[in-house]
Parts: sequence; C-alpha cells; structure tokens
Amino acid sequence: MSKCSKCDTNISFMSVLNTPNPLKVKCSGCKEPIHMDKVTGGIAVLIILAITIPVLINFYGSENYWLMIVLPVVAVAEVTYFLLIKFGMVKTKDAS
Amino acid sequence: MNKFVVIGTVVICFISYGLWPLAASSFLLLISDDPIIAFSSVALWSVAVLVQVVAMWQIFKRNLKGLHLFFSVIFLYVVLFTGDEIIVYFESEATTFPFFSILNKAVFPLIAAWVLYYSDAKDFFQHHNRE
Repeated sequence: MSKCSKCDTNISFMSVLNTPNPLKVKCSGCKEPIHMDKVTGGIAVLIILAITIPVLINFYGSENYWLMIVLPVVAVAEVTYFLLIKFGMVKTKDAS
Repeated sequence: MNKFVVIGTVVICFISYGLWPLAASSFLLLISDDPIIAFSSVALWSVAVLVQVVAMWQIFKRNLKGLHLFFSVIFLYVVLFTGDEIIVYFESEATTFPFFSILNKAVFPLIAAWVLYYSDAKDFFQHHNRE
C-alpha cells in the first residue's frame, strides 16, 4: 500500500478521485502533494486511457450516453487506478 | 494543472451549454414557421451567453462568484430541457416518464460542477482568496 512519505497516511480513494493530475495526488492527511513514480504511474495512466478512450468513442451517440457509458467508464477507470496504487503497482516517488 | 482543468472545463461547458443552444435557436429562427417562439429562444440564449462571458471573465480572474453565475446559466439549460421533456411527455401521453433522459442531460454539468467546486482544481480559486 502506497503511503504519504510525510505523515504515513494511506492514499485514499477520494485523493485519487479529486486530483486533476494522476501523477500528483494530494494527501488526505497532511494535504501535501504525493508524487507518483513517472514510469509506473505513466504506464498505468496510458493503459487506462488506451482502454477507456476507444470505449467512449465507440459508444458515442448511444442512448443516455453520459449516464450509461461515461459515468460507469470513468468510475471504473478511477477505481482501477486507485487499486493499482493501493496494491503497489503504481509506486510513489519516495517508495520507488 | 489546476488552471488548465478549470479553463478546459469552463470552455467546454460554455460551448455545450451556451454557444450550442444559441446556435440551435438561431438556426430555428431561420427555418421556423413560428418566429415568435424562435425569437424568444434566441433572445434568451443571447442573454445567457452574455452572462456566461461575464462569468468566465470573473472565473479567469479566480473569483468564485463567477463560478456561481456560470453554473446558474448551465443549470437553467437543464431546467428548460427538463420542462420541455415533461411537456412532451404529457402531450404525447407516453407510458414511461423520461427520467433517464433528464438525468443524462444533467450528468455532464454535475461532473463539471464537482470538478470545479470539490476536486483539487478548486485550489485555483483559493489562491485568489488568500491574496
């Protein structure tokens, strides 16, 4: 499990969900930025985008697109990225 | 990064929920048999676009009040769309209420509002408040 190097708080799902930059997450404990390892984080982000973008494009224009396609796909992408951090596959800069 | 997220979100919302309805109602004015309704629609969306431009000016100056004004106009669009869907539902005597259609229209503005009000991108505005 990846932790904040300053306060040792576990990285929370809300921290991952709230960040506009997936390679820089704000710690939910001390509010300091936690930098992700650019290689593992970058690869994870690229793989997630490589799956989600074609799905979003493919289903564009379908009925209730935002509700039935975009919302679940974005939620799954966020949960996947969080789990990759949680299980240490995406490392923080200090841990790598 | 926060700056780009705020600018990107605001510009997409402005195009989708300001410029696009104005363009559609202007087109309607050209082809409609009932120009009064089409003209009212053009007048409404012209005012809405002007308000959004003012709101965007405030947002880019990192003023949170601009954000409130901006989303008021966006949710006006959702409310008008909902009203239209409800009127069509009662006039057509359809069996299923267009609940998902209304919710679908509200999802993008809700995500945009969440990004700008609750995600880390809100730090863009806190910078202004500290000064």
